[in-house]
Amino acid sequence: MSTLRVIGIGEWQVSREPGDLLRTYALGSCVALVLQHPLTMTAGLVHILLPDSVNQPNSRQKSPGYYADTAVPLLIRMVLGTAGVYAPAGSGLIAKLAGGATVWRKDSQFHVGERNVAAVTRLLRQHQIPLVAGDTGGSPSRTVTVEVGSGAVTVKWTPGNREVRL
Amino acid sequence: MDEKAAMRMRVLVVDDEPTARQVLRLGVERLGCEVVTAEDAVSAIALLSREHFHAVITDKNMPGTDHRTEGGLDVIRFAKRVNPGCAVLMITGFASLESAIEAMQLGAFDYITKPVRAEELKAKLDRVVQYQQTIDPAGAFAAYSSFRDEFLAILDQEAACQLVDQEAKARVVEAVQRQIDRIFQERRQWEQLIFEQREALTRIAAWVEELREHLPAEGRVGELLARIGSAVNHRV
Repeated sequence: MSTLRVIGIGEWQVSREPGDLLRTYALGSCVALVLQHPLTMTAGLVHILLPDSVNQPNSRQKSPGYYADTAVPLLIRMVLGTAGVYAPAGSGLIAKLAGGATVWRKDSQFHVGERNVAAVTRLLRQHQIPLVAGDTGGSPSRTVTVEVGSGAVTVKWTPGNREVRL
Repeated sequence: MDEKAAMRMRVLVVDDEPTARQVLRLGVERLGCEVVTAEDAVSAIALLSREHFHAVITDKNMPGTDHRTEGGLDVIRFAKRVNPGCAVLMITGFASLESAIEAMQLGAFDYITKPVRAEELKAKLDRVVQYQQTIDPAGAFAAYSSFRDEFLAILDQEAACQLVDQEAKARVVEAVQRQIDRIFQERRQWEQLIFEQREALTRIAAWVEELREHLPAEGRVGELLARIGSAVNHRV
């Protein structure tokens, strides 16, 4: 049975039910990392808020999905577990990434979006997981939907109603 | 140092002298950090390209790749290139501000003079943690370094005129450091506030987007939703 699973900020979901939809709404500078294991048609999505948890001692344990450095290993573990495979390198896991927009003024000194994308990209490289597609940067707010089974990832832009397929 | 914050800090210790390396490792571990060691610039660079570190503590005088006797400079250059937010503490052999300035100009966060004292190590790592708690650590580091750089350079010129002795210089640097830290402390509190608001707005943005799928886009409701949506999308 197909279900729409809505993923909130700092949350994650993994599924291998064909037809399931994993969706996260209105990513600003946050990023949605999608990990897929095409062989078993398993997919997972995590909605990441910040690049690094080093300064958030309490929140880190409570909500590992908030921070790239904890969220990436977490999602890898969850997807591999659901797919029933054991190591990320050479397992056939692939990654797609969306979000990381500059949603504030151009002169914003925080660069949260850029840093989110950089952190996730670096962590994927460390775990030897290929990043096969991405729609990042710019200024739109993005809604991401993963169709489990077909593996189609759709990114909808607001404003503009533009749709990108990853 | 905040025990919990330090616990997750990953520190790379680089020193070609086994005893010094061991002492440093123990010292940093005692502060609750996770420590990885390297015995020369080449293996440090290899580690930095593979793994993520919050801070690097490196000796300046050891064999390097480009610098034959100052491998620490190669380590710092590479560390800043792969991760600008990484804080490098340079250990300098002589209590001279000249080599400290040289390290700072390459992007070192701070320097420690040999022999390394436990309390000094703790104080400097504390400062690293404090600065990494800002939203853009790379920017915070850069601002901090340029402040200090400028200051050390002025002090050095003064020293040339023999107006100030080393001890007095150290005291002045200490005082300036305290002031810079205070400014950053305040900045951190602001950033924390901005963060909490951004988080709240992010939630609202997602709910609005979800609502729009269920409610008509036309009419008063649609108009209000569009307006809320565009307002919350201007978050940090």
